[in-house]
Amino acid sequence: MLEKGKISTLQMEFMIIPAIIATGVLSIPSISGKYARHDMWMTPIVGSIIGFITVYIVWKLHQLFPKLTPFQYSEKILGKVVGRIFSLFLIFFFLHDTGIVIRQYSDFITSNVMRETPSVVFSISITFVSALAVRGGIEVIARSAVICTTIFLCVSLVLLLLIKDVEVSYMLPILEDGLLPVMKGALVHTAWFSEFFLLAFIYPFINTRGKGLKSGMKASLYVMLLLLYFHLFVLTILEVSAVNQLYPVHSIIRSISVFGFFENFEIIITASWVLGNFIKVSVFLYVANLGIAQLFGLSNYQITVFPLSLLLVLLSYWDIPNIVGLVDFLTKIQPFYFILVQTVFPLFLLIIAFARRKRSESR
Amino acid sequence: MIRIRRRPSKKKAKGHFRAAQQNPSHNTLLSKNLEENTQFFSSLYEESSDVVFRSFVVGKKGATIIYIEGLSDTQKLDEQVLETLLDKNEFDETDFLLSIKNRLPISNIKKISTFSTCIDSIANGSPVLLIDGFEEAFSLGLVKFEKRSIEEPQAEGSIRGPREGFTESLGVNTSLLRRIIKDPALKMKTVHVGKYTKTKVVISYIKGLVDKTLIEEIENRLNRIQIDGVLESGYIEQFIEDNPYSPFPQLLYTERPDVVCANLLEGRAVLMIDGTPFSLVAPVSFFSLFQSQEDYYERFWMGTFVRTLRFLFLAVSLFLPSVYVAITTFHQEMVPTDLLLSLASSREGVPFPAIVEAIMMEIAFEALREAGIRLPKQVGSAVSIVGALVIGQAAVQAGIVSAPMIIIVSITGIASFMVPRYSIGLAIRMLRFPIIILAGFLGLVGVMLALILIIIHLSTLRSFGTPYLGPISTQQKNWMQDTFIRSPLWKMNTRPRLTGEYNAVRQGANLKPGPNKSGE
Repeated sequence: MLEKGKISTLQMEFMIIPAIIATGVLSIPSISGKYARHDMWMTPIVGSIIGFITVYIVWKLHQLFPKLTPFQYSEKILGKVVGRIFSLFLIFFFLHDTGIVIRQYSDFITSNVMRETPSVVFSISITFVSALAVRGGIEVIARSAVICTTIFLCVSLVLLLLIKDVEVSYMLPILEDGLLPVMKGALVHTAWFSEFFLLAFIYPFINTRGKGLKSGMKASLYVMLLLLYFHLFVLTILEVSAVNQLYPVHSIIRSISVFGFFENFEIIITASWVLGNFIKVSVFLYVANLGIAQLFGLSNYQITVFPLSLLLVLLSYWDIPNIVGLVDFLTKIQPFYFILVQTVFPLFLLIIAFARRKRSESR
Repeated sequence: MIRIRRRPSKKKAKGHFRAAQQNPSHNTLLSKNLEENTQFFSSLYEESSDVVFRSFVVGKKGATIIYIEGLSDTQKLDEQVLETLLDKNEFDETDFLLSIKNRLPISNIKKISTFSTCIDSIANGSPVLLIDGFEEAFSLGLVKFEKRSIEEPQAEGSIRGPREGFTESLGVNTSLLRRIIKDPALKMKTVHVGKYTKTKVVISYIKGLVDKTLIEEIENRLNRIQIDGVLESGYIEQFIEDNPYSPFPQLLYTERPDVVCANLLEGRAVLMIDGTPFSLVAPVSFFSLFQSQEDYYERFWMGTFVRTLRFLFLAVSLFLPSVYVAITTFHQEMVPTDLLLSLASSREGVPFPAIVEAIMMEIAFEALREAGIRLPKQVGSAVSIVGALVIGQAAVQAGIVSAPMIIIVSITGIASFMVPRYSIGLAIRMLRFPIIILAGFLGLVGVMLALILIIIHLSTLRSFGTPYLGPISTQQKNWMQDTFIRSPLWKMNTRPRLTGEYNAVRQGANLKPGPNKSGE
């Protein structure tokens, strides 16, 4: 076995929560607001359905193949050749996804915090620290995640200082144009919620059997609540004009002012987002890396980490021309693409696996 | 009697076969001839004026006593040994050795039969009595040497708590432990380390609480050590660490018996080294380095408060100068306007960028601190005056350093004294510099990257197999009870989980005190 580490379900939750919302909190609100407008606060609730479904599918697959990752059981389900092609596809998918995450992060930092530093500095640095964590294995990622996520989530409480500026009437009228705009807005969320597919790669390394489903569902719920929390504040403070902002959460934090002294918290929250993004990139890089090692039968997965992370830095620039292109991708392509790969494909895997099992039982 | 005894001694010689081959002259058996034996010892101890050979006759047989001056109790040797042996009374010729043994009023008397044990016994301060015609000698337990009396520990003071500290002599230290933990489950295993110093290292643990594999691991690591000498527990520490390149200490050192006993009772092992008052505790976690014994002696509210304060100041001492550099260099907009104005006005005339200023002042502060430790106490005050007045006051007035920077550096300095364990304070002091540099280049993002690097390093680190960041990052059961908070003693029902075997229950349930509880 390549990975000898074992982690607890709680550590898994700490890993998966920033792995979903670290970039989500940056760009989701403005995109979902574009469609759902006053009702954008409902979008995470609707979108989370995909999260719960994905967790359930992944859990069922995990129960069929308790000690294997999707790279391994896809071979068993689809046969050697097709399974390997599928695994290769998954690896490229995760590489691509990690590239996007790194790009989102470094673009955000350069456009908001360090305007004169080239973005490549930030993409290299975040990839480097993540690569270090990945080299340590899943235990190191999990332990770092406990601390980083705690800080990341605690700093998010800063938003509560905005309560005095909240204007609840911005949420009205509720469901003015029916449910359809909400559904459209929720589609953006589904891309992020489908990332719960990552659990499939973490489940085999959990030390307590049988608790994975519950904690996966819990994680999905927490992510939904967190997104709801951010959306509520964005909507009630910026109203629908949030749509015009690239990073609405960042914008509302700018407006915090307590006693005229505690101002400009955006630096602190950006700093904490570095921690969140570190966990996100680490988890994604870990999965891609583990996939390569498992697919090509490497004796350890540490050797590919640094070459792969170098590739990732390049990939993050190769794919996306600029921030507008990125938003376009996030709005129009990502929801369909991500759901297809991370929810629909696993569903097919599950159906085929069940069918095969049925057939072998009936014989 | 002698013949019967010879067999086991032969076996012993066989067991030590390998050692004997390395050192043939030392591990051979004593000869029957007193002349030969004394010859050997006098050639061994030639040019050693402190070794005393005293020859005399006991009941028509020649005898020699060998001891080292200052290590043995000569008064008792004269009064109890020589007086009895030189007495005109006849000794029982049929069993000469036994009759001598029965005559001597010494409680600790051993028969030894090889040269090497003789040498060990002489070196440890027990005089050796050689008698002509016998292949065995007596080691007389009359050890007495000058030692420091038990004093209050210098490096770990406390307001409430036992005032006794360990001393340099191992026998005293183990007795201090035995006085606290009376159960025979307290074990002490001895290992000798050092080719020339032959330092006694005692591995102490409580059987049933400690993981057996931990003790084996410690023994293995100790047996691997092949050095000339062990002068301080630091020598041992550096040879048995898990990650020798880490700046963080992976063992805890202490000179307080109560700290050692607390750790023993939590299922850890303690290494006590002869010649130093500092004992080593293994395994430790990051959080146990922030526990002080007084946290447990005072009310738990105080313990919790002080601990929280410590972690707060850990963050301050690690990050304050770098955050200051980051904010003044990159994120001025974060500072409230009034504060920014006063900051800017005080930085106005300063020729250096903030990063240079910070590194300069931190180095100056570290130099002052180091100078203060090494200097004689009378000169120490001069250093602090020079440091405070010249570097503090004059540098600001001359416009070389800004006043806020002085404040930052002093707060950082005070904060680093908050850490109860000196060894982790050293790590924090050292790590501050790379973080300042990162902050100077990448602002707060750089500080965060530094934090991530530290977290990754701490997550990879292990101390004798236990995760260094446990129990927080490993999310064990009851992970909060003794880390950031110190829960009430009557609630700490479980021991911390280390590795492997685990004796979880520490005390009875429902110990919460209150009125009307006596009869239950």
